[in-house]
Amino acid sequence: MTGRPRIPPRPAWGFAAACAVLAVLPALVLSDYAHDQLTESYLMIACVLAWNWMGGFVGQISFGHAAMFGLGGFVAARLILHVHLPAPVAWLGGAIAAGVFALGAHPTLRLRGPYFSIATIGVGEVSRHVFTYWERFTGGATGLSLPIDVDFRYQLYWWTLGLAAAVAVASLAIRHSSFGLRLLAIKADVDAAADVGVSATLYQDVIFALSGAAVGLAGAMHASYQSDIEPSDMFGFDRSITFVLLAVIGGVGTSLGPALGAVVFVLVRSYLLQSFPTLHLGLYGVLLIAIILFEPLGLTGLGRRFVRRVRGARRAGGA
Amino acid sequence: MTCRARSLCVLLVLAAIPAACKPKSTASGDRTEILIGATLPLTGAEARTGGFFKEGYELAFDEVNQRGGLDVGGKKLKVTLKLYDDTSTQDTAASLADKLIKSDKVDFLLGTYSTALVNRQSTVAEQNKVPYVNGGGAASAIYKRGYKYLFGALSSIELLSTTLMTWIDEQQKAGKLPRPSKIALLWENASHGKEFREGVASYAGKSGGAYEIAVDESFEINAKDFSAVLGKVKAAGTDIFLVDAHLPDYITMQRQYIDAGLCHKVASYGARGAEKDAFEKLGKDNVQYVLSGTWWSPLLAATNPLAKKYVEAFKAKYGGRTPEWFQALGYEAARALFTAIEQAGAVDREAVRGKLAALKLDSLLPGGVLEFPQDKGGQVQASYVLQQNQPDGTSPIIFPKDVAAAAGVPDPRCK
Repeated sequence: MTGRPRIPPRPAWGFAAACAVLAVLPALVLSDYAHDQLTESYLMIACVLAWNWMGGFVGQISFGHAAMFGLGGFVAARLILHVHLPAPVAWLGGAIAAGVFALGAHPTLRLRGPYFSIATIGVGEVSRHVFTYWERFTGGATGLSLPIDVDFRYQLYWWTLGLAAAVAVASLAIRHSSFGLRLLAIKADVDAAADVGVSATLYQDVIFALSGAAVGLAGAMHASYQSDIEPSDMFGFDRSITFVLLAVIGGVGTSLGPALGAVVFVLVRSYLLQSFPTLHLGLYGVLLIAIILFEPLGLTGLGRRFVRRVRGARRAGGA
Repeated sequence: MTCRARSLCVLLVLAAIPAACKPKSTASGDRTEILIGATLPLTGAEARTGGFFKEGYELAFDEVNQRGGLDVGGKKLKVTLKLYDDTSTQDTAASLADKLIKSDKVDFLLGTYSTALVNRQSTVAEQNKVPYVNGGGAASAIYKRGYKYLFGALSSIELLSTTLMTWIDEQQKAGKLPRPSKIALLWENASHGKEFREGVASYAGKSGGAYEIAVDESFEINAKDFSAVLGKVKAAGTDIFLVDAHLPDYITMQRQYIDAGLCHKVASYGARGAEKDAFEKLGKDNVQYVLSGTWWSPLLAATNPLAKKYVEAFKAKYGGRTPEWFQALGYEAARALFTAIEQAGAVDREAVRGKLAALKLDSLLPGGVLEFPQDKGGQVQASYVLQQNQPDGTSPIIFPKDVAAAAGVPDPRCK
């Protein structure tokens, strides 16, 4: 875990400028609905990028991340309702609980490939059942209701933007650090990585805990944003599947590509639902199939191919 | 790396532009219509029921517009329904309600169907202080959150189980059921099912030993295999089989119930039992004597003039088809909102909320009156009607006696 990440300064400034623009948008031109759509997009970006640390960098495809999302949400909700902690402190509590929970999944990390994926399905489904029946903690099937605070809900735009930005920066930092190289080594060949002194167990534990904590933090913010949460929804298998699908659409394994998948999911799906109410599922499916068939690196790969073409055309024009 | 980060910056900004370019608000001006928003599960697990609710909404809107619109402060205003498909998922239902309020600028909201979706979506309405009238959320947990803008036309599930147990108790007192009777109680693992269970358990607990709950098991909504719980029911040798299930689970479980060779003197799936869909999919012989408690029945047309008028209007619009309770509750929720708007005399959310809270409307529901008592969180407290499927394929009302068309009996085929 030594070695500082090297992120070139120009893109870093560009990224900071983009975040700054997004931060001031609500005060300038953003409609109320667009404000909410972007808030949801930021939460989804944070979740998918954090999922990608495990699924993309280490190559361990998790179908159980909804467990961390749900746990973060319910721990934060309980801390707000019964300990009366300020929401940001409660969110941190949710994140820590989710991170510790991910560490508890340590035995599954001995598995690789499809075996790991199947194990995470088990962890996710067991979590959903346990937390649905654990009435004293989650309120059972009825769930928990948080006090409605319209002003704070509006402010969540900046909190979620901050979270998405932080997770994006963390993604770049991890990817371009020696820690990230070790994760890629585990992904490429776990035995060869061990031969050169990279402990797959340790590094996977660390990244799974970090990934779980980030997703748990998003779950905690989601709870505050919705004001009403139910275990069947928060821990739902659909949610875990969504994280995987969005990463695939955006570009699994790339540093920031999964963020594209999240944006597509929230904005394009919303558009399809409104414009083609009877066809939206079919159109969404066609989009998904097209991406998987023709561009394994998702939208990121598509973008790269486009940039290469443009550059090639320019060179040809220059020659 | 450089290219990737640059692309992200561009993407983040591009993602915000279309949304940012939308107008902030629309001027009210001289209004010519009232825009009412709703979502329904038109695809997904509850698609069939969502389609039924849509029919109810459309009939109510057509009727108002055919008479020139709502009379609002002396001016006739047409009503327009802006409807989206929430795909039977909570996140989508909430997100689309947000869009209806903030982007489409609807004046009021009608509710979606199913307790889980209404529960989530009504929070969005409450956050934005938009009156939300629904006919699809029955669990009283929804109405115990202290919301001010939420109004529900479905009576509570606890009342459903109490009504069922009251009829069962009459049968036991008449010597048609053993005392004590052993109950197999199965409930979907959701607030709907939990309330059903609590209602039955509470009644049994106060019965002085007349009822013993021998099986008390929950199941997942939209499950495909009920063999494990049905196996427990078979092993327990119970007299009464009480289940709280939605329509797809009723059909699936009843098929497996028949296959398992089970038979009970009293069998009920709560609010489900007399649906045409179940008769078609299972065959009338396989749903005989199933008891159901519903929020409305077309048979009420025999005693309630409003119900009669509604059934006739529905048949005229939908090719002679008879409505079920789903369409009726959608229709009644819309009618309640329309009435409150007219009474308010203005398209004003606060004024309409106040009128809904004080509403007392002649209704096609059992009891003939629709009101949203504020001490019950805005949830209607209308009585249920019990129907029992007969060997001839009919499902007459058997309880309460003032509207009953036949006398219900425990299943004579079962020992």
